[in-house]
Amino acid sequence: MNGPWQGAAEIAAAVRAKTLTATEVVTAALARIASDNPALNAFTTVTSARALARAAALDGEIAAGKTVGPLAGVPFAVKNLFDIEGVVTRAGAALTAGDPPAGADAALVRQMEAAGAILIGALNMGEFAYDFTGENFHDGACHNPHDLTRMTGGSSSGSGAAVAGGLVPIALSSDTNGSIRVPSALCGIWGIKPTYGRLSRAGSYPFVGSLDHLGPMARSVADLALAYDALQGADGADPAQAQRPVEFVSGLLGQGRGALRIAVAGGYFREGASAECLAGVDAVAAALGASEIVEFPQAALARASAYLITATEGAALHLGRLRSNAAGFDPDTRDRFLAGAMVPAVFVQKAQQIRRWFAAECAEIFARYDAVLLPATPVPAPLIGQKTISLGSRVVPLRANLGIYTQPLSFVGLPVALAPVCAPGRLPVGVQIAAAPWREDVVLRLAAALESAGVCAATPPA
Amino acid sequence: MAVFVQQAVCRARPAQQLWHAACIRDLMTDEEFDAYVTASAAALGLTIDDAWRAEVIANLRVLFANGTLVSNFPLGEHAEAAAVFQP
Repeated sequence: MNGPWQGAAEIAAAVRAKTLTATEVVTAALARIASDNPALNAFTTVTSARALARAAALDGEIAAGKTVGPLAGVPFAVKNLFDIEGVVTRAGAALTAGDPPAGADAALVRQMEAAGAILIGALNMGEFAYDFTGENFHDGACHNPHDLTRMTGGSSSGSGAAVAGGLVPIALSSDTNGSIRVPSALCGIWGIKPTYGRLSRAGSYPFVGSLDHLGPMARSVADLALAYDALQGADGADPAQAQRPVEFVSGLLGQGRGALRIAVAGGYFREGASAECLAGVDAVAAALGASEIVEFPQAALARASAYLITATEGAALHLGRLRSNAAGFDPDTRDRFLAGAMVPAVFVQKAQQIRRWFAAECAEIFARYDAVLLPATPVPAPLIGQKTISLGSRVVPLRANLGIYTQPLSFVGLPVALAPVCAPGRLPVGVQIAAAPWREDVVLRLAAALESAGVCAATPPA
Repeated sequence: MAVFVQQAVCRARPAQQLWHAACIRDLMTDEEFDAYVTASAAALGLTIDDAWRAEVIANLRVLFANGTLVSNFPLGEHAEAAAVFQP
């Protein structure tokens, strides 16, 4: 009990049953961070005092017979773009180090703690979330728990390393173009990027407001769903948050595949992908009995549009810093932001028109299918420091191309679950399960079916 | 597969191929990109260190390639952008 691979649901059940105290759970997690984080480089801040204080308070509530939440005593950590009261919100940058500490927790941190979870620290990430590698110029690269010489993926790099490495069972992260899905895939864990506008982003450091999503990463579908359920609900402080009712999914996971209509994405989403990544998709498709192929029309155009919106909105956000202290950026980030500042507005306006058009095309697809399966990345985890990858016969820059399969989906805000396919002696690969907007229940239900069938699972590093 | 894509484009906006005529021209020459970066940096109050310049231009080339692809896509003047303001 209380080992590194113990899940959130197990922990909460044990804490509620008084077979384990929250203090014991937090103390063990802090010890694991102390021993294992130096190799992974996942944490940038450990909030030990706060975590132990909250654990003691929770233990007191339980001893007094009070009702506690579904995540009682579960330690979690957040990408360091979430506000933590009293901690500077770094967003992976050195330029933010002199900012005042956050005056309050981010909305989603508050919601996790309202459900009984205990924040234990902040996690490494790509600078200003403009990253797919997990390499941070200032804080160092995160290391993939399955092979320490390899990338975690980014930009939620510390989240991938911390969850896959057994430091915490749940991490909160952001996904603008794939930053939950890419590290989940490369690190072999579960993740969900909910529908755009589903969860509040209040109190998180922005990157590209029109594309930014927040969501959880975990080692089981049940834990992912528990966290997702805890995170739902409007707080009125994020103007992009939709007026949606809370739609709990945890109770729906056992429904199985049922009569859901499931297709596999073809065309763009198979071109250039490695044999390992395609084999992952095909294994998932076979397990779900999905044989029909569907093509997302103009997926490359959607990706190009997302690329433009990202570069230009990001550059606009950071223009002041680019003027006053461009040398203080991570060089890989700086040069892209500088270029993004110089892009004509006509490109961006057209990209936004294409966004609406592509959303309509996707709506037609999801009128025919309840879910579509796609690869998450073109390759498994590259080596840290690697600069290029192969897309079929082409050698292309790694940074710009690791997210080619994730970008078209976040471009139109679809809910996507990331299912890990792990096998002994092989690097994990990820499969995206996408559905129509607001159908997180569908993607998580299929994720649970795959986990039950033993096709997808987060497995401990060898 | 290619046929499917073409059908999708035509189904979306069949009568607005004229947009092609207004497309942004292809990528600039190296000299034009260099001049563009110099002028843009001056206009925006940005300083481009010589050590960064080649990488900034390389990134800008990628962005313009994407911009050209996007601009050439036939949607027409009545296509609404995704970001529609709601007061």
